[in-house]
Amino acid sequence: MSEENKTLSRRSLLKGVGAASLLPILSACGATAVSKGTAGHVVVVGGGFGGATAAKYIKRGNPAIAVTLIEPKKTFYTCPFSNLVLAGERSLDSIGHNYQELKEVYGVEVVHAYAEDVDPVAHTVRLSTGSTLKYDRLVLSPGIDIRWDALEGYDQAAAELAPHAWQAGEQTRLLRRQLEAMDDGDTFILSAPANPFRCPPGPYERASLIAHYFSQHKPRSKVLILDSKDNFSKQGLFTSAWQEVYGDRIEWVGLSGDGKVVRVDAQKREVETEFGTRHKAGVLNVVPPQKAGKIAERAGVTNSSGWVPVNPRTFEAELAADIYVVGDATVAAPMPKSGFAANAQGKVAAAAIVASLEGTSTVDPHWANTCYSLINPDYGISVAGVYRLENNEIVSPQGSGGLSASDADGWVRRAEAEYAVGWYNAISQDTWGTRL
Amino acid sequence: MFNYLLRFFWVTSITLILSPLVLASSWQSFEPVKKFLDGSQPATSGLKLDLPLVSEDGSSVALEVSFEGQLKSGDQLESIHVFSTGNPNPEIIEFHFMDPRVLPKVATRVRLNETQTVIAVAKSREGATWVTEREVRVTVSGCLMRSDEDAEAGMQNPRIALPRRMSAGQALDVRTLINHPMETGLREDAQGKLIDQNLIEAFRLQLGGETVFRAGLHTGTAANPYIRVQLKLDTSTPAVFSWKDQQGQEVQEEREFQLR
Repeated sequence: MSEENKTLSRRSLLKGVGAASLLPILSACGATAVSKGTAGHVVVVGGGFGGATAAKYIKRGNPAIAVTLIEPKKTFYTCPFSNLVLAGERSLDSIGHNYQELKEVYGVEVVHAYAEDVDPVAHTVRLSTGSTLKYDRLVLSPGIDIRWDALEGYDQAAAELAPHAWQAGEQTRLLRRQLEAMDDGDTFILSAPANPFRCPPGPYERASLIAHYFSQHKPRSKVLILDSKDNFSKQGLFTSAWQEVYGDRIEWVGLSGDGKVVRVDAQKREVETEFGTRHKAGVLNVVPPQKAGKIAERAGVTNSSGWVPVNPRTFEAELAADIYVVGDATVAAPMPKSGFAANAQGKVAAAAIVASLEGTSTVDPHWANTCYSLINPDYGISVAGVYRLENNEIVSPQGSGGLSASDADGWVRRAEAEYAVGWYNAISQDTWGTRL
Repeated sequence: MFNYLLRFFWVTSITLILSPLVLASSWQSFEPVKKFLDGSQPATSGLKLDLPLVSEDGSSVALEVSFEGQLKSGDQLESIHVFSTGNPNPEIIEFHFMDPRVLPKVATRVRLNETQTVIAVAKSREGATWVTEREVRVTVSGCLMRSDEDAEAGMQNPRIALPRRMSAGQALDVRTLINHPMETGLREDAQGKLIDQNLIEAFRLQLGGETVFRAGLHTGTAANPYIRVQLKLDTSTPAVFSWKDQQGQEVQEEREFQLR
């Protein structure tokens, strides 16, 4: 309801003044004007699945639009397939992506810096380099930030001892080193957060692939998942696959079994649960509570939940005009916080931005998402979803999507593991042009 | 879809400011609440209800309700009832406060069938009433599809967590949990047959042999009932926590509040 009002207001505003006379209005109120002779300037913050896709598809939609991508890292490591790195099945390099294609093929200006602040009224972004960029439209794809105040004993220093590895790169390397150095017979403990969080099946795939590594290199070691919820993604498929492939190597304790971790002692690699049980780990991996990436907070587009409410038709932030937010930072449920979803949302925002700069309109979007998870490198399971708009809310139409069959044959599991690799290559190609 | 409307203002024709404006409330037209209020005019501030804006798992949604309103001298808060406007049954849970040592701040986990308004109402011994409500959007995340698993039927594994250090006059968080499926009587088994209703009906806390707090549990209370209460004590005291199911079975746990 609220969104319709807003869309209507803007649309009638646009109609009232006409696309051609839009420019003087924008400059009249002190904001960035679309410079004469160009089709506008879009700044994209974040070069992950959502941001890189948005940058590319804006250029594909209208090459005359100037696009600047702000991303501190020269190589972006994906969370998808980082669990294979933890298991020693892939190199970190193999999940690194660069911005060559965006720069050379699409003419995106890539600036390796942090975006430190956004002024939504002046339409400016301040960078860690000290410079300030003006934008006509801004895309934020900041991913997640850790809520460092949400779990007793788990701060930045603790994360150097008990890594989260929920942002790939150095943290992935650290956790891998710890797993390699761990004594055979010690326990790997993974603390999983309550909803919502990045990559709902991620903790369970991680537990699976680390169990795979143990079965080959540390046969006496076990995996314990302490969970802050009772239900998780692909639960039935995971638990029966664990039984089938790993016997009792993986143990899962849910919320109602006192699985919620309330205190972390990173020095001792010890956690305490809600009802006072203490568990000691050989390697402790805390997947902590999360929120939208900090720049979203700075831009003032997050609500009390810490995430960003968006108009799902365009992925424009509800709380500020001309700022579009995509990916894990948004409230887009039932779409999950996944790389696939971020990529799809990046395209929707790109189309909406191109249309708004051209003074045209877009059609209602549809989205799809598939999450593959690996039990081991030859055993894949998946969940697929289809999404569309209904009364300006994202819904999953009845009967669409679904899970891998629970009674599938071994060849289906092997095939799905291959599809997972195919998916990864395809989405990397689509996002960064870096098919491996 | 929303029970409130958001009004939009254009500021310098660019920045959008949202201002929530409550135009209509669900409780005024919701029969179970009207019955509870029994004609009294409730205060709309003083009672606070905390729920997530969006829940990705309606089978267990964290809820906290607290009372911060003004009571006439000599009056005491008697009870807080929580209602669902979108579940098959409106009752979620109710809390009865029989002793000032139990602070009116309680947390639990509830079931929400769909996107809906949750209403809390409170009553004092002298008949003053309060009301508040919250809209919760319930959506199952695409990655969360699952099949229902059958749980054990009886009451299992009662758990109590007391603060490690307790001192007089300090607010003490006390968490309780017991494993139980809380069968609503509305769910079908794999063969399509209705599973009989099987609920824990009541949770009770006694201090020194005296009942100081009671919770009435209903179909809207999540499986494996979780209740967190807050106490303020002046002296050490023995405590008994008990749960009673519809068949009259009772489980008891004894603890000692040992103040420093």
